[in-house]
Amino acid sequence: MTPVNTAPVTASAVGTSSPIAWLLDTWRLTRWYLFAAWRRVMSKVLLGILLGLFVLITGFIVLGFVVTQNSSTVARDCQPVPAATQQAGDNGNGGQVVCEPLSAQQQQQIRDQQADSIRAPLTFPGSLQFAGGYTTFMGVILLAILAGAMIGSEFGQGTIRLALSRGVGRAQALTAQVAALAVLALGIGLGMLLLGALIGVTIGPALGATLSALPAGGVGALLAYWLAVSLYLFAIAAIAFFLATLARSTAAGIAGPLGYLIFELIAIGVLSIVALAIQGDTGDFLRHVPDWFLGQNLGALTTAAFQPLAAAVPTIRGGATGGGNGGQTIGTMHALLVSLAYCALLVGSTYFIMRRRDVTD
Amino acid sequence: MDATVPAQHAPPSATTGGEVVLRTIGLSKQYGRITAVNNLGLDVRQGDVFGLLGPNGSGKTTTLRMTLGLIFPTAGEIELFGARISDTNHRRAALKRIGAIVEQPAFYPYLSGRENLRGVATFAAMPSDAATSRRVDEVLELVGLAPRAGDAYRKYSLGMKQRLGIGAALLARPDLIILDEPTNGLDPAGVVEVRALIGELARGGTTVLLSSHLLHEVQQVCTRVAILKQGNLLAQGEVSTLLAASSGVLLGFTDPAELPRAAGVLLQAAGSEAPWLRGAGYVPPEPGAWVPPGGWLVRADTDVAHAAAINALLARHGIFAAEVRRYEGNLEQYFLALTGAEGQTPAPAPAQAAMPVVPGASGTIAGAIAGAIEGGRA
Ligand SMILES: Nc1ncnc2c1ncn2[C@@H]1O[C@H](COP(=O)(O)OP(=O)(O)OP(=O)(O)O)[C@@H](O)[C@H]1O
Ligand SMILES: [Mg+2]
Repeated sequence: MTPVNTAPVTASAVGTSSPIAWLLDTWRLTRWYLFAAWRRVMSKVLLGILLGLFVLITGFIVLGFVVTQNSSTVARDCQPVPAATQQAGDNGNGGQVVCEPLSAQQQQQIRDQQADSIRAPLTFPGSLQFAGGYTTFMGVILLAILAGAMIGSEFGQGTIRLALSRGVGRAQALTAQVAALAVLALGIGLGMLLLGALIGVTIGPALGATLSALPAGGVGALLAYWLAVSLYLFAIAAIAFFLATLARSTAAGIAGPLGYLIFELIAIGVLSIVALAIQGDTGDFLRHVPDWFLGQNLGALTTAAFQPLAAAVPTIRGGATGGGNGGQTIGTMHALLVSLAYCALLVGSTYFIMRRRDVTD
Repeated sequence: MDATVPAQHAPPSATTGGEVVLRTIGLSKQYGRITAVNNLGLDVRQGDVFGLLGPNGSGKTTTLRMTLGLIFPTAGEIELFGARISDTNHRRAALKRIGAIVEQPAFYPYLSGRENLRGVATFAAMPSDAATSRRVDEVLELVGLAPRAGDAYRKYSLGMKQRLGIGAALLARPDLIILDEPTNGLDPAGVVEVRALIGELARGGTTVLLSSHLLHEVQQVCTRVAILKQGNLLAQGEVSTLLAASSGVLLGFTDPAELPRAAGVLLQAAGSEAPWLRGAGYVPPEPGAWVPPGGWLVRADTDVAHAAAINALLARHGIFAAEVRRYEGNLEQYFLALTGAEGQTPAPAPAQAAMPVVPGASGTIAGAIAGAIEGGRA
């Protein structure tokens, strides 16, 4: 350490307290958090998993397509007797099933139907729903892990005090973290949907599908779908943000959101069973409790956001690709408001917790 | 213990009367039932190299954390650069003028030293331009990390981590540098370098607040110190004043029988003809310390300028010292006397107190041994 003349300081960042300066500083901080997140080995591994699995699934669909198109077993498929001659609910019991050789024409028709439904997720715009659905599952899990690690490690490494002791405000640090998560959510949403679009205009047509034109207002619908998928990603990451800060730990940040998603699954199952058993008003009430669950609302929102595009997907009418929520009871506005309320609650509570907390990590 | 270490600190006149950079007023911090800091009143002035001293758990780090806005006081106020930091806007502005390491430095383990300093520049709201990049490299050079600047922080040794922490503290050319045990983990050369660096900074007008256990180090670099124990302020003042208050004259005798007589004469004179004498007592023999022909010492606590007068005083009573030696007080003795090596709590002294005067014994150890000698004779 060679002593170097350090002149008395006059210039300093003091006095930059205008809102604009605050926003600019916060945006720089956001970029720093993104940079620090990107430089983790973990984020590259997670990205690899996200893309790798997506490619793998796409590959399996292509494989499934090729296998069904080349199989001759279609001809031996047993066709149930047309529904008109049967009572609903009778099917499993005494329903007649006729197995007779189909004409070449019929076989071709069935093959075409199968082909359509198999390559739909690889054909634009059905491929968007495929990518979006994948992202709201795999992407959500992986972003939740990254977010938990990102936010939790600020405490684990003690880098939060590095920032705070330099005059970064607590609200500012949190805002930058939230902004970083939002950028990640939007980026992952955009990236995955672009990938979906790319697959949709290459692989689908390559498998013989004809691209249908976007419906009117398609661009707006695309935008809305992107935002809905991103909100899904962000909201679950917000759980990670909240819990990682609350517990000052990476483990809580990662396990929390994943645990919550699993909890929702179990709770929905249990509630529907109990609701069936109880009946009446209480049963009705219980049946509607999941309407207030975060994941349910996010799911309803993304499904609703895709609706305008679904018209352009030939096979969607039959629900072949739609992962739609069976008895969808959540309205779009309800879904949007509940999702946003969750985000506001999670982020707001985190601000409140950090406002006067001692940072000694 | 070498009682004759010359004090190398800067002249006190250069540091007094500056603008108050940091002031704590009735500052307290309670952790559950533990009072980590109790009613603390510190004054760190522009240009000070201020040492915060105290045994483990005395509240040094807690005080620094409160100053940096990391933890909130239970009671009291902190003023930085003239305004209270309970005002969030002022706190954020003031912290931009401070560089600090508190306890172990904290950095992103997977980022390089250079990247971490860029992060600190971002936190400190330094502009993201070429000048800042140059400053980052300059600081890396300054703390001797330039050759390893591209390595991940987690691959650094303890001392290298500490160096990066010091570099981060210097980066934004702060007006106040806060260093919590800065030489922790450094090799001897590193310790000397940090000492030189602190001196350099102080000469450049930067105020330095550091906490340390290395009293020898503190004595060499600090102009002012505060001593804490169990959260209480025991003493605060100029190092030179504190040291002058614990300096004196050592007297060696060939005949051990002269020791009680000499001590008696000095103690009596302290109350009458020699008011400049603060006290006197036996000095216990310590391994390796200078020992006069008679094997025993008496110490007279006074300004070293009175050496001749003391000699004359004893001669008037027919006592002739075989050797007369001046000793400069050292911070370690002062600290141990004040904080009580045996663990008892001395009553907290007023904030500006100087050396606590203990007639007849200049330190608890010396006093204890002197007492034992007397007891053995009786
Ligand atoms: N986060 C905390 N929670 C509870 N007690 C704490 C916390 N931090 C510090 N303390 C307590 O406050 C007291 C002062 O601790 P502090 O770290 O300030 O001491 P110190 O003077 O820095 O000691 P050292 O020289 O060992 O670094 C100690 O009794 C400690 O146990
Ligand atoms: Mg400490």
